[in-house]
Amino acid sequence: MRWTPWPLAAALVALLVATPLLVVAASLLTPSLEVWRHLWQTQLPGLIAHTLALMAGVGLGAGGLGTGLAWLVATYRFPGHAWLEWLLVLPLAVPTYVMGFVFLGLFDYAGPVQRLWRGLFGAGAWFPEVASYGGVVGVMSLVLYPYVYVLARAAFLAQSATLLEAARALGARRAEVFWRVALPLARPAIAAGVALAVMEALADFGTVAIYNYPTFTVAIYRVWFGLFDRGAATELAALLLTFTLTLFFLERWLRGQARFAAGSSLRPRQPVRLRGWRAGLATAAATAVVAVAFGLPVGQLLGWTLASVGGSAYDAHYLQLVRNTVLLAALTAVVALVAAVVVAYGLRLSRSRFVAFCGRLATLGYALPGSVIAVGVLGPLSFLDRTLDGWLRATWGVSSGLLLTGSFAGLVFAYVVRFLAISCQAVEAGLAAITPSMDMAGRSLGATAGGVLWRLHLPLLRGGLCGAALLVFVDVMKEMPATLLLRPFGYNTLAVRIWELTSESLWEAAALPALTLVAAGLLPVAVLVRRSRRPGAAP
Amino acid sequence: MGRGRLFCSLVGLVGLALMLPAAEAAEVVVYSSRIEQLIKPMFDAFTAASGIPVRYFTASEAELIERLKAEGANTPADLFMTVDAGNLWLAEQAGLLQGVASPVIARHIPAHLRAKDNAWVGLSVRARPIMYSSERVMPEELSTYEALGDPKWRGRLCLRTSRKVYTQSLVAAMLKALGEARTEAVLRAWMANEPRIFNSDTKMLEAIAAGQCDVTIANTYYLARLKAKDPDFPVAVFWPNQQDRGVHVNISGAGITRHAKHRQEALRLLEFLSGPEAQRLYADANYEYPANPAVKPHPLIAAWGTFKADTVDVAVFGELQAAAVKLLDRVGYR
Amino acid sequence: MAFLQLKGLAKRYRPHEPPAVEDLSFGVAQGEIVALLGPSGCGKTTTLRLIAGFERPDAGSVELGGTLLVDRHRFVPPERRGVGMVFQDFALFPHLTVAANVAFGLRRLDAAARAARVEEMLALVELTALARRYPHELSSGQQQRVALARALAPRPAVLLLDEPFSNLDARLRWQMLHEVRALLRRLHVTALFVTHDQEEAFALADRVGVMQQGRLEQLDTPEALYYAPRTRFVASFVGPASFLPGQVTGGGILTELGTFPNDTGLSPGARVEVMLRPDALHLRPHPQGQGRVVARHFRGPFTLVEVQLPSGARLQAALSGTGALPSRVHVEVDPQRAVAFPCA
Repeated sequence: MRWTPWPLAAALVALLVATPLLVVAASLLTPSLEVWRHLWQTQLPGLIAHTLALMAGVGLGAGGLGTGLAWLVATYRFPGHAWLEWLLVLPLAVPTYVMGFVFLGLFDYAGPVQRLWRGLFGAGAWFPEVASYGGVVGVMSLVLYPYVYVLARAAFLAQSATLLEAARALGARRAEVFWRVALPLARPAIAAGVALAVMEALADFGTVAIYNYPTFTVAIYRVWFGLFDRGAATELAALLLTFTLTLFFLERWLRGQARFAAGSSLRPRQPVRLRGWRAGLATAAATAVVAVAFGLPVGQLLGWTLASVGGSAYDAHYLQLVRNTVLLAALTAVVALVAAVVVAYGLRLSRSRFVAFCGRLATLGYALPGSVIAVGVLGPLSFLDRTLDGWLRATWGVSSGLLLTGSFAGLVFAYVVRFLAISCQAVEAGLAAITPSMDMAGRSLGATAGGVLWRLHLPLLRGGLCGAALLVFVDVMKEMPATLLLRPFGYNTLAVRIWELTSESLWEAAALPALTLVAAGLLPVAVLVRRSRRPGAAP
Repeated sequence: MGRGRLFCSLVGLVGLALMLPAAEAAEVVVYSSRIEQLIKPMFDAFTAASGIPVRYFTASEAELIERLKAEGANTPADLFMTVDAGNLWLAEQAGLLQGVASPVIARHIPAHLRAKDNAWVGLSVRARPIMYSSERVMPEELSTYEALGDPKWRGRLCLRTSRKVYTQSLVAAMLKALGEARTEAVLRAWMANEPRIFNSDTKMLEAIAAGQCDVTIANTYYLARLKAKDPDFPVAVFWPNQQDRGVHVNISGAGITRHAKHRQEALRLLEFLSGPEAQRLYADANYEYPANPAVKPHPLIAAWGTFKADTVDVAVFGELQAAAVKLLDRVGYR
Repeated sequence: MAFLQLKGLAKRYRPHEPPAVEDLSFGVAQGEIVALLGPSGCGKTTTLRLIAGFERPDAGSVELGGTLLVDRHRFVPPERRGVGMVFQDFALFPHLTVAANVAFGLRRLDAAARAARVEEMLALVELTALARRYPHELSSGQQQRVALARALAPRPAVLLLDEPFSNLDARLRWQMLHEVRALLRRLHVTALFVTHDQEEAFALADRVGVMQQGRLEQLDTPEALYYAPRTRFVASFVGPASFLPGQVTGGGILTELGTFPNDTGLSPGARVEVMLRPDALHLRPHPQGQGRVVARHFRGPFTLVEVQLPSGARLQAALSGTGALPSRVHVEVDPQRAVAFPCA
């Protein structure tokens, strides 16, 4: 095989990003048999069942909600459509753990809703258990559905109207057209969104901890913090990684030979205007989702913030925290985007299975908890530091100290490992929409592969790239464990502040930073939506 | 885009990283899992008294330990601070701390609340007694932690998740006092009462107030915070096991790191923290019990009376934590 | 009453634009193949979409086989109209195999009947071997046949085809055209198709309707359209034609090439244009002939010769054979085959 620069660069970047994951995976080579035996006898079967159930629940919940709302918004017009279309993306800005503690605070036994309920219907009145499977799945679905919504909506809008008309001419009712044509055609987009949602659910610790729901991630922390056995914890993480990989290949295999891109749309889809009770129902449904998934948590945070005003949450450092958070997120978004473009473009140019495998491997970090990735990053970095330091001391008698460990480089690298899946997914989707004949045209006009990327693809992808950068931006701001462990000394962010306060159960005091985080997340979400509204723009 | 520009920004990043671990001047650098809000007042007092500035970095214990390990001899940290004994013990085991001889500390802090060679020192005491609904439970119904396994508490018991180190330390203390077989029997009796498991002490206390359950085990300062807001909060403290080993207490504490660059300053800080001025702040900032017996607790918790505390060496919590977690796994305590 | 009957159909997309379709009425008999011919934007595709039910008409009605599909009060949704459609881009479902595409409209059949019908349709279009392929693995000709098989599988009462051959290259187009015609005939399918290509329309259809600006100008057999166009637009759109200025007199229409019978009903003095098809002109070599040959276009079976008359008027004439042609010719006209139109 001949190595051309782009696939080579892609493979290198992918392998670099995959290094911490490989470090994690390598832990399986030296299994801590004693811990595994203990886990197998006590928790593991239950853990696997609980984790699978969570994946299925969130997959169905976020997938169903996201797809349904995307179809509603893409196909119909109803009062408030123009607003709801983008309001529905907002829950993305709410960190899952914030949603988790707000919901539990509102709906558990001691919360205001149940107190009101008991007041109305008596002390023994039945109320669904919040800290339960249903509660976790509900909360996660409400926060994570926008991943599916954004991608599915773009896919529905890009579908050729003639395909849908062909189906109707063949006797399919409108509902049937959805199930038999539109939905299967949007499957790659929906699958990508569901994959993001499920991976995030797998990596989540905050919410499952609050709801006391035992998943793999919970077990990882239990083994690490409780049994003081980081090795065994890493092995569990490796198992989680295998889980994700299996899921990924399963989807690929099920997809088989079918193609989903149906060429360019000859006739843009014409929205159907709903009237009467149908219009009311559509508006009510979409509004309800926005209210519950966004209005409720933000309202609660606002309430707490006002209640604790003048408290210790806001101090001289506060604006510094906000600035740090935004700077870090922006820097990471740019780096993750560059990495994603290199990887995705290398994948496009190369038919090598090895390059493809590297690319895939590099995006698995999204399913791992931030702490595990942080430890995976910390190992190689400190090894590099020690090697360099030792060499410098031996040859020059000076110390380089800690060059990478606890530096921005280490932290940004960890974020890229964790979030490359998001940026890569968006870039790949954008590239897929550009026909290969355009590459050929560019090359035949004398452009190099890099020139084609620079002069053709990047301008065409601008919308998609912007969207990818914004998604990474929001996710970095929310990311907590990796930030805690790897941040440079003295560099605090909003997520760190939230951790500090919630770890001591100071929920009210944590409301202001949480609210700020949500607000900072709103801006990119708004830009994202404005872009995706333009015809032809990738999500 | 210029490759040049990319290179420049990379160089910039590395330069930034280089600048960070500078400054060998007199200062103390603290890695702390005790949050900023609860340590800053003490550090400020220290700086005011000694002129030595304190810089600190907060994260959770396990992550701080990983960071200390990774940084090795290059670590900027002089002092490692946690909110439980187990992780201090673990850091000591991992060779991350160093012992110091200090008559001041020996005078201020009782021996069972610190390591033999002062590799770590307890600075505040966190008592974890039984708490009950003052509306539905009479104190006469309560006696010991073990007795919460009595069937009369079926459906009335709230417990903190076994993921929390508080629960793990409690069970470790029981393992030490009762042995494995009896501890397992106690835990199984608790589980037979179908306790509700909570992720937060505050939530448990609120659940008792709301009537979801009647009795629990919780750290005193959580109740103190609620009582400070609402003096009529309908939950009361019961000091269990007064006839035998006493109330389970944990510590928050600190130890000097093995590779401390400012060992002297760190020791001064540690000694200052064990002294009356800082201990007073400990007591007032978070309603914890001072580790220094000469300092009285906050009036709000002093009103709950004095009690006999378990004087088992708190290092046990670290030694037996893994055994405790495995036992908790075995009995199905989540 | 025709099998497919349109009455007074009208559709306007935007208030201030000219209507896409206006007062459109015509019928298609059972088993008949009708083409709608016209330049792009003439409303022919809109007409198909109105029949299929993808648009609602502003006025008028459509009836199919005695059933009212749409009028002011009634609107049957597309899926219940029994109308088959072949799209310009074929609109094959990319996520389904060839067989599954064909089976798509056969939901009401049980599995066995469905399989049998799919097999029958694939055999009919000679694609049995490719049943398990996906659309993107087929050539465009094969895709076209799948689209046809899919549309015909549910036995629609009428088949609509929207520019079905425009995505095919020239040679394939003629081959497919004849295949499709043979198939429609064999199955006795009633079909309405839309094209901007006059040759396609003539080759496939029994009758051809010429549309312009939303109106149907003339619906007739190809021969009638060619030789007896009713409007000057039809005359010029359908095949090559020359126009010669003339004036109505008492004895007929007087032109540079003689007098033609006046069948226009116009009174003397009116100015007209006389349309002459190339095969209505006969050229005879003659040194003093009134026509000067200015251009010749070799078309294979015949040569199209352009002749200029003394007045400057140019005529196109068909000449068979390849013999040398002198520069001057005498032009004769078959007066029965001239059609006069009043000047606008």
